[in-house]
Amino acid sequence: MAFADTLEFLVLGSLWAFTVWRFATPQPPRGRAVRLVVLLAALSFTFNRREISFATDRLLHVADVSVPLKNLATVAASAAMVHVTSLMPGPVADRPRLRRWAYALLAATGVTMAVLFVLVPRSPARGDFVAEHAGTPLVTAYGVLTQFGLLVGLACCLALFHPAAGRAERGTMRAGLRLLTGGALVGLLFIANRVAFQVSNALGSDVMNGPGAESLSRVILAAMLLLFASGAALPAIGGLQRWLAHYAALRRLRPLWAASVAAVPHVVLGDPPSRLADLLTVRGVDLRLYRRIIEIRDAQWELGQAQQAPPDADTSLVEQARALLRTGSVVTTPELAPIRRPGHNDPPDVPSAS
Amino acid sequence: MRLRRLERQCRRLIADIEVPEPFDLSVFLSYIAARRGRDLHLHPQPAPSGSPCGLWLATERADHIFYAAGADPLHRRHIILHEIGHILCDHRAPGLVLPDLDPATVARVLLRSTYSAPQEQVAEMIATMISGRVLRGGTAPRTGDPLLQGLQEALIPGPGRGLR
Repeated sequence: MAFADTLEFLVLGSLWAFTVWRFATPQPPRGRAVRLVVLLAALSFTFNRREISFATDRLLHVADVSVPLKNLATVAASAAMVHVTSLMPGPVADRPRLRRWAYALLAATGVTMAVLFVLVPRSPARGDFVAEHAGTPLVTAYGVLTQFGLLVGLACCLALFHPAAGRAERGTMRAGLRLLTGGALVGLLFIANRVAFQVSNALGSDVMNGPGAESLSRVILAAMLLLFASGAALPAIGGLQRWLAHYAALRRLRPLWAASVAAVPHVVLGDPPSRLADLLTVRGVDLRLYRRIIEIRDAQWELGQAQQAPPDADTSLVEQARALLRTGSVVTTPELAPIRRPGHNDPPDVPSAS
Repeated sequence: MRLRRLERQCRRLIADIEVPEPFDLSVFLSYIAARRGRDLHLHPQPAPSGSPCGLWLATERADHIFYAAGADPLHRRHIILHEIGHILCDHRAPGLVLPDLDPATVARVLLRSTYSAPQEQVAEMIATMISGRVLRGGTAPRTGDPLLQGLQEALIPGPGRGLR
């Protein structure tokens, strides 16, 4: 297998693994926006694989339809990247007009690409029209528009990740941001390569048409995506370690929890999870671990195994509450900790017992 | 009640509750007191194991939370948050817990002892969900840089919101 193919499969696997992981874990609004970018990039790169693109063309009975599908996914990923940038404090968030212009330009790019796709001559033979008819006016325009769609997204990446990498402290976050910046720079190299390919063909040169040049282009694209995937995944390694530790703790506590709640079943909130469900449920691990600890503590309390109360603690909270109320000492007992609302100046709260 | 439905119900109930980040129980209780316009008093009390470990008592002017001082800190915080769950929902006890006291001055009393009753399940779920927010707020390292803070939120997934 050629190096470019190996790299593409590695990138494809990484991108989809990352996408699945981002969808399997709960995300805040900013995380959801990043997740959308990752999904669209993964879709675009999937359509980029020759086997998948030919299969799609044959399935839909439209010659080279996988090309605009791939390119429109890239443009959509760029639009999603504009959205990510607008959610962060910075130049894009501060300039709503700039953001609207970016969306409008990307929309116009997508529509024009679709129109050009209909107009360009295409054939169902192997090889896509962008390579077969490179240098013709319509295809050159299509190729340049495609790269413009990518350029907007890369510009957002550079505006966001480059300054942040400079300000981040040493660690996985800074390393990740540097990789993301590197991915955007390699992406610019890819754009230059693709535009040069169309322009050189338009000028009648075939210097960029050989298999070596094609492999170089594929390697640059795969390197860009690999840098993006690894850069976005690296800062989350701490979170992954925490998840693994909590999942392991959840498993370790199961025998104690099972024994405890078998003795005191009413401390379980909801239906007790089966052993298999416990093993296979990967969501909500942190909160499930918290519940497990609380339910064990509750059961221990009920069973009288919690920290031993002082010898004088022979009355329940109900009795103590009653005693405090009867004596009217609810707010005067020195050990009480009143939480006062700000500016409150009401008389003391001394209820009367009947 | 099904756990998923209970989660959805409780999420709606506490949607507008602000949980301080980083979490500080006294700040949170002051917020609850200010929100209700009533004083809120904590009463750490020695309590024998096996007896109810938390109690909310509402009087004319204030809310009182009695909790077992002997419980460990995490358990203690959870017991208090459970009673806060009752307070936020304005729960009423199904029967009289302190029948000998004047009902006009002791508006309601609720105990944390079992979660089989629907009200107890709701209070327990609210305590769990507030603790979930505390967990989420406590895991991500805070940075003074808003851009870095935003990127942290975007790139580092926090703990889940739900139990299932």
